[in-house]
Amino acid sequence: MIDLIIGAAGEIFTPLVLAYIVFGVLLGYIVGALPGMNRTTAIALAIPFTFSMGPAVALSFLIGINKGGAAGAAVSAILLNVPGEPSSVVTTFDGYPMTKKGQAQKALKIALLASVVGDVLATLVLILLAAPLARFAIGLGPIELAAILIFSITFIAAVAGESFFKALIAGFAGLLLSAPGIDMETGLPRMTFGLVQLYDGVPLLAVAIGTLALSEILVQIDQGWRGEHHYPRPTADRGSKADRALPLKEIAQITPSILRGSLIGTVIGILPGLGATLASFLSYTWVRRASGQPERFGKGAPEGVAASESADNATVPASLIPVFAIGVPGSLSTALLMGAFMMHGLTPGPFLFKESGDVVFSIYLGMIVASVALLGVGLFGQRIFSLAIRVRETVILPVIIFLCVVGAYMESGGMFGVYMMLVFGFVGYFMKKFDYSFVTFVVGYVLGPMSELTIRQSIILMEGNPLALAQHPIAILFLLLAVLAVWRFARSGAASMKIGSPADQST
Amino acid sequence: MSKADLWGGLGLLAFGLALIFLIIPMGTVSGAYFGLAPTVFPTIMASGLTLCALGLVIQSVKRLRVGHHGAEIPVNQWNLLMFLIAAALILGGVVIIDVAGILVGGPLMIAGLMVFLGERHPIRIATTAIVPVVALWVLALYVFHTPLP
Repeated sequence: MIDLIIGAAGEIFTPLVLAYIVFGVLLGYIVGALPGMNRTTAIALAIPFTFSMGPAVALSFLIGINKGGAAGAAVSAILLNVPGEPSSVVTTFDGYPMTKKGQAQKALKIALLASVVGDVLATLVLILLAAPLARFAIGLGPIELAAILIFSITFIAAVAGESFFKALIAGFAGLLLSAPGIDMETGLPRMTFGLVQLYDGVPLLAVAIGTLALSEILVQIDQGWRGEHHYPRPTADRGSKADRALPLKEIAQITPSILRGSLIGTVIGILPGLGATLASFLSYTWVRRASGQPERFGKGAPEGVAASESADNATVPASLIPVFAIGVPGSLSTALLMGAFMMHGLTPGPFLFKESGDVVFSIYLGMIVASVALLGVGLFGQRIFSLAIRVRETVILPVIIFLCVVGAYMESGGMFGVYMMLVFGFVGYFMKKFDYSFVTFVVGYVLGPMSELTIRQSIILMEGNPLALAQHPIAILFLLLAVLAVWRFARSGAASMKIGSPADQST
Repeated sequence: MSKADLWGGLGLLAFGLALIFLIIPMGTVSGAYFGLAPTVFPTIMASGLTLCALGLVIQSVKRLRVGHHGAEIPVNQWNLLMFLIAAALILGGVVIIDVAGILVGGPLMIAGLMVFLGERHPIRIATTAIVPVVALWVLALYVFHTPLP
């Protein structure tokens, strides 16, 4: 253990690696602060630039973007009343009224403090929980794993988007997309249609950048032309010194809200598909009810900002617990991070600790450094973020489209990936418009190879006899839960649990 | 969106059937295998997609029959036109990058999109079109060791 920690410290505590992590947090913060941009876009675009880094550094950098994005989304929510991400909608309830009262700086400090505390606590839970869970998961066979995968995708479909059927269609489409390439058993090309470039499968970044980044930009262009984007300028009122400061007395007042938010964010983050938006809503509601003065909320209550932001940021590390322990991502950002794990030669799941324990410890340390960086960047970078949200969309959108092209090129080193990215971007535009869940699509695509392997192994192990399932109670439990979800949501017609909005899919 | 869902469901149903009976068998090279055929996994997934598309069709028909038309279709002709112009500009830019390289195609693509989005300031257009492209080109070549085209 000690040697792993020393090794991790040796890898992370170098000037270059620390600079990468701080840069990742800064980048995420800026992207999160920009209205309409989100951290999944930033992660998808940043992955190609990590190819020259070691796995631990690359993943710490990407997780830094994720953490920074979650915290940065509060900036535009507080200053403009426009949430940087759907999960920051709740922050606008009290953040913007505080700005109108001249307490913008205080609201930003509360949001930052809550984000950092939520993030640190959930990171600690990740460190404590992931390894024991992985040890338990290592005893699971392919039949149990296949059942868990089926349950996860069904459950995510049940909570993503407005229609259960559409979310499941997207999930099956994602799983199908993982099929082209060389067949794992025969070594023969499958669904490649003579294209040698497809022998390694459909490029992950072409899918991720196309469906998550390019399609989002196309929707923004569409909305921009309809005149739906009229963001107000940030207020110039800096307020009095008392309105800007955050004294210890006020920190003590908001601490219970932060702790409640962190707890909710951690629990919701572990469960697949529920997402940060639900966490921040639940946290806000809990804190409001527990306050004894619910009428203060919505009019600039600091506890409201604290509850929302702590829950939002706690979901980031917590959502990595199922990735580390069983190799199942529950959100878009974790699906992308899981893809990045695989690109860097790591296999997320129970064997990660056994095969790459040193890398895991380096990632843990990198995450803690990113938490500290979050505090520093948030405290000293507020002026940069206020400026960033003033940058015109006519400048940002074309540059991001260009970054999409470069990112897709860098994965495959050829134009094939770029053309594929365009196809997925154009298809993604319509998926977004017609509410076909991106979460189930990307999670399905990332889980495709693992699903195929476990389903194949299960069929072979069971020798075509469904009764053999009786010897696998865990698998039966998860399959029953999946069947229950299908029965419940397919029968009710309206289907999905309608948690948050379809926009919840952005994280 | 029930009407759109109905048409979407029908399209996906046809696509699913095409996958099962045409695309997957035709796109897979047959060969010796000792466990399961290479077509098994994609066929299971395509069947799932087809069943869900059928479910979507039935659900949409049920809703339309009780007069529930759902939300307005989110893409009108104007949106579609804007999408097509943006898509054409991006595709055009990518083709130029493919033929003439990123240092030519990149600035043209960015400048074209900026003008399309309503930017008219020539210095802003020139700066935004050239600086990120050159910076990324240098970064990719000397830092990431992945030369751009």
